[in-house]
Amino acid sequence: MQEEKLLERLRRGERAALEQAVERFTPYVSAVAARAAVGIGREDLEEVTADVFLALWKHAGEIQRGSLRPWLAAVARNRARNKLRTPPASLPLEEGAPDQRPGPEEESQRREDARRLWQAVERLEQPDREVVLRYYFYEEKTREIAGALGLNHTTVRSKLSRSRKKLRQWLTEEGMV
Amino acid sequence: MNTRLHKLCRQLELEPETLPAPRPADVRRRVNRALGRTGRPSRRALRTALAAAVIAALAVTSAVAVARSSLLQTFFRGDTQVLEGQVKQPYASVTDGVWTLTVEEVLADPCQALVTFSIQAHTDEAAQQLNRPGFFNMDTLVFSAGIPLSAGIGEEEERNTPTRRFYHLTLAYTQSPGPLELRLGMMEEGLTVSLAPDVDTVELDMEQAAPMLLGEECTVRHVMVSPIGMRLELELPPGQPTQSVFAQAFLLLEDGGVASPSMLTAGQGPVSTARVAEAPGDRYEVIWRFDQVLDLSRVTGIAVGDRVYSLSGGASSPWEGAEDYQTFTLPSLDIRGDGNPFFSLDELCAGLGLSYTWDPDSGTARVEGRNGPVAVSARAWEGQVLTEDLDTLRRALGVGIELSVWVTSGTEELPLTWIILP
Repeated sequence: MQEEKLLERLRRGERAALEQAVERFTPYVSAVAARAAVGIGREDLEEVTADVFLALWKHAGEIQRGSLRPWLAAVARNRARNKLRTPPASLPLEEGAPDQRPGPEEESQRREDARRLWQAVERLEQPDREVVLRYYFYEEKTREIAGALGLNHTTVRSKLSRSRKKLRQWLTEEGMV
Repeated sequence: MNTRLHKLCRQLELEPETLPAPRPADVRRRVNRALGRTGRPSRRALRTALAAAVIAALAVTSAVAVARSSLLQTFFRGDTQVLEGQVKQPYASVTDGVWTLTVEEVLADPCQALVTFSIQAHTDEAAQQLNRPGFFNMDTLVFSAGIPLSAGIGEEEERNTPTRRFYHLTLAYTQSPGPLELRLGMMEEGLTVSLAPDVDTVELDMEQAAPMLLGEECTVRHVMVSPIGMRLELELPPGQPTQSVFAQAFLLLEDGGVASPSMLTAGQGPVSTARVAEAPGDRYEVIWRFDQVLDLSRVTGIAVGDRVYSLSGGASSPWEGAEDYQTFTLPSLDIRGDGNPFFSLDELCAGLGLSYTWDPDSGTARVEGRNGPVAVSARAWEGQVLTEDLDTLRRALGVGIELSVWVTSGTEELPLTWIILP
């Protein structure tokens, strides 16, 4: 319901509402984008996430009531997939500055680890998967999660604990841990 | 930034950046850069644009119907439609160019008021102060509204932005307090906001005996019910301990149902119990704030003690449901010394006619409730099986189980009252 109020303020062009949307939905938007473009790097993910909020600022008037999250998710997925299809730009280093970017082998390993971690999360059964996504990826509070999924607070915590054990077990079996 | 995603990666012994998690601050910078705003107005620019200590009323003070009041969403669960048009949205603001204090919404009945307000920073220095831990302390906001019986301030963190923080203020009082005056400690000028009641009420005078805790009795002299709360005015024999002041009025509904203050506050106690007069007997006012909006048009009568008072007037009549509403006291145990109450499952189940089985390996107990079994966390302690999981019990023990927690600080035992409905 607070999302409805936020959307109305965005429609009125309130800049503070856009800032609030960024604060509130960055974890959600970036998680959706990362899931759509597994292995995407931080810079690209940050750019995609910002693009989603720029689109929100431009198109708030077209979003139907109750559709803010689905709209954000749809735009995030599209932008993320488009980003994957775009060749990465080659950025010049400042003269004399050490190159702290990950090397190609490190980056390749990170992408593979990300892919396996996402696969492990997808193996979780519902509602455990939803609990893990909402808590770790969307950064929702346990009470929000409990309310949204019709669970009690204690159950959410125990599902998180159980899910972590399962993820660890599966990743160990794959040799990642 | 130590995001939860990074924590998960560490817990799984992965590199923290396995799944990158952009920081909202970095995303915001990109967005602002793209929109062409790179920073905040300078202090000089603000003071040129705004006269110091300007009081600006930004909207009318009469009730304005705006879709989905955020005040109602903050304080009440379920359907709030009946009150949507009655929340005052004054949007009154005062600013000095560095800070802006805005009162956003006000809702009041004759004995309590709910107010939402925000504090906004307009300079980098003020924003740093705003985001510092401990920003909001007893000197941050100065307010007065007569002599309130109770007052509370909470933060609405979900609405916060880096330059603006949102709060709510709750007040309970025995008489209409006059206007509310608020001022930020950092500013010289403040705001004055009306707390005139906005909502319809039902009020009844009576002289009705009613049971309290521990087998004692009081006389209820007045009941006021609004969509957001209830007030009982009652009288006790002189010298009765304050701790046991507890009485209820039950609302009889047009569909035959009964609603108690405990039910309408999800088992929470009153927001205020205050002695307001000492002679000839001790007079008290007990004020409840509901957590769901009550549609007064559904209320046909008020039951106090063993009598029903019809809202259409006339003499009271015997309440056939009186014997079905029993109270028993279940002591709670502060076994950790941190004020967190634990309750004996044996006593709880014996009092409610339920049964349970306990699994020490999993640390859970399965309580056979009226709507089926429910699992709660449980632990052994000095030969007893205890649980602290009241939330689960409240929701899961089925229609007809009501409980009200009466917490007395500074004592080992925290008395708990259970009110059993059929």
